[in-house]
Formats: sequence, C-alpha cells, structure tokens
Amino acid sequence: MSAHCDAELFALLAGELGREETLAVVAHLRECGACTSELVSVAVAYGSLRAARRVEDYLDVRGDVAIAEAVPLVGRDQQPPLQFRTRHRQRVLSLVAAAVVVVAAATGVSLALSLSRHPSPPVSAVAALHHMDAPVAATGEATVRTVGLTRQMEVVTKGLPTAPVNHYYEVWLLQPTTNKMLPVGVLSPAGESTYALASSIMAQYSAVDISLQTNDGTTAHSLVSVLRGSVHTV
Amino acid sequence: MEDSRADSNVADAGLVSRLRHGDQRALEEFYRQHGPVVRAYVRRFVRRDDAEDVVQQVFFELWRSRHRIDPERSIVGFTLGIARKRSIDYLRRRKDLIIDVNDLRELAGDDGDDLIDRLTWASAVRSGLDDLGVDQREALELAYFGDLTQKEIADRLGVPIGTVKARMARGMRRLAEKIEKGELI
Repeated sequence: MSAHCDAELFALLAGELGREETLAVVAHLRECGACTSELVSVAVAYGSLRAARRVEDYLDVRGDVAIAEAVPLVGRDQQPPLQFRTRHRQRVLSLVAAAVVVVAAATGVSLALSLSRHPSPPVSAVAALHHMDAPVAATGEATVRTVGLTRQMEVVTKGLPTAPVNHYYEVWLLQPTTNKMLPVGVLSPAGESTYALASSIMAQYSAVDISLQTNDGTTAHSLVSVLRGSVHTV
Repeated sequence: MEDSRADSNVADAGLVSRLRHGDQRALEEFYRQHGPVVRAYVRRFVRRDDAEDVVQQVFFELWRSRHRIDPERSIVGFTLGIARKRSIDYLRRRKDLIIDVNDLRELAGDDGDDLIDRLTWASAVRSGLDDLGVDQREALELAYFGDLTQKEIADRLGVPIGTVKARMARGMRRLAEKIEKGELI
C-alpha cells in the first residue's frame, strides 16, 4: 500500500478488514509517520466513542432506564401518563412533575422551571410522515432532538381521524431493510406525543411508522399503517 | 460539511455564565439538556417513586450553589456530584430499603467517583460528536451507536463506502483534536 491509509484506520480498529487488507495497512503504518500519527488520533476518538457507548449501554440495562426517559417538562394536568415500552417489557412510566418548583424556605424565594419549550434542544433528525392507510390529508412529522445522552422524538400529526372505539394509534420505529420494528408508545388522542429513546436504539432505525391498533392486548403491529416516513439527519 | 451550530462547549460556557448570574432560564435549559443523565444516575440508587423528588432537590441545590460552579470544570460532573450526595442522603433516611452491595459500592467511595467521571466524559464526548458536521456525525453515530459496519452504513445512506470512510476519518480526526486540546470537559 503506497497511498496513505487514514481512511482504513477505523476499519482496522473495528475489525472490519480481512487478512490481506490488515497486513497491507500495518505494513504501511510501519513506514509512514503521517499515518501512524493519524492512527493515534483515530484511537483517541475510537476509545472515547466506545466509552460513551458503554455508558449508554450501562444506562440502558441498569437503573430502570432501558429506554431512557427524556425531560418531559409537561404539565401533570395537561397530559396523561405516556406509555413507554422497553426492549424487554412494557412499562408505564409516570411523567415528570408539572414543573420543577422548589421553594427556598430560608429566603421565601420561589424558583420555578417554566414549561416554556424555548430554547429547544438541537434537532438532530426529522421525518415527514405521509399517509398510508389514512385520509390523503393526514400528515405528520417526527422531530428528533438531542437531549443529553438520549434522543427525544416528538411526533405531531394532522388530519388523522379519531381512532374508532376500542382502537388507538401507536408510534413505531422501523428499519425498512429488515422490517425490524420497535414499538415506541401510544399516540395521544390529541395526535401529538413526545417519546424518549436511548440514542443507541434510535440509530438502529431509519423510519417512523404510526399504526392503528385494536385494544385487545396484542402488542404486535396490526399491519395497518396510517402514516410513515423516513428519518433524515439534519 | 461543517456544522454551523455553535460549539457545544462555547454554548455550555455561556450557560454556566448565565446560571452563575442567576438566570433561571439557564437552569431550565440545563435541566432540559442534562436532566436525563442526572435522572438515570439517581434512579440507579433511589426508588422510582422517590427519584423525581431527589432530582428536584439536585437541581434546586445546583441553583442555590450556582456561585460555586467552576467554569473550568464540567457542570455535568458538578451536578452529578450533588446527585450522588443527595442519593446517599436518601439511602440514609430510608433504612427500610435493602441496597445491593454492588450498587452501594458504585455510589460511595472511589467507585462512585469513577462512575461520575465516566458519565461526565460520555456526556462530553456526545457533545463533541453533536458538534461535527451532519455527514460525519451521522456516519459515526451509525457505527458506534447503531452497531453498523462501514459497508452497512454505506448501504443505509446510499453512498459509496469510500465516502463513508472519508466522512468517518474526518469526523474522528476532528473529535480527536477537540479531545486532545481539552475542548471537551
């Protein structure tokens, strides 16, 4: 290998190179100071990102945050508890208190974290949802925001008819190439809900799907998709 | 493509400054951005029903002690330090709870420091990743957090694998620069 091998260094560390490729890269590294220096940089980034991933995995499997919750600073009276599902089991999680209101007894000063949505965390991805088995006018949008180590996905729909009696809409993550699906949660009757997901989970899916489900205890997708769209990083 | 968003550390520095000067909106922003990490940490040791109360205590104490925040050090680490103390206080009060010895070790002593260090560093690395250009960040996230190979990333994004390799190499170089220059805290 005569050309620099900087583009191959991640693959080398990640074990994605075959024997011949590995030997060629190593032989080049032995001779090339620039690429050896680059290897140090790649190793620093590689190790640090691995460390971040390990912590996220750690939070996923321990401490009842299989799907980490976000910071739903919503009014307790404004929304019912949302239903979250972990990879392992369903679980109903209570939402955070209406606002963090604490009183400094000594000073009598009241400090309230308001419910203002601004400024919002940075948007990392969006998905325009288009009608499938729904009225043509029905649309929706999923907005994914970076919130610390998690991703917060806000789903807003318009024009969806009210779910029939004993039915409800459910939001899913979908990987179209494998048809792998993850139930994210029930869409509120108002057609807007916000969910929190571990970023490691979010990264495994590239589309958002909303299904119409029958309230019969079945947890599988009903095969009736009403809205769907691809997730695009922004 | 370079991202036009402000560098997160610059943004965090601005947040710390505003917090130190008593801006309640800054506390709200910090809560929104880093509350999940604090909550996840607290929930490791505190019963679910009580966790939110402890988290609120943590953020209230952060507010009360805002003048002690060192702008040269991680505010996430500072807040997690408060969370650790309040979690220990909680366990002292709740003598009826049986605590796993491994969890206790993780909370108190050197292991507790280590856990907070790792959480703080993970948060900082994430911030560094979020500051990269969209293409670089997307490829690295799919590799590290989506468990995809470079070939799978290329298929997912519909671009040549050489493009993926180049984006990842540039992204990792930039991230390493930030780390080595101490820009991520």
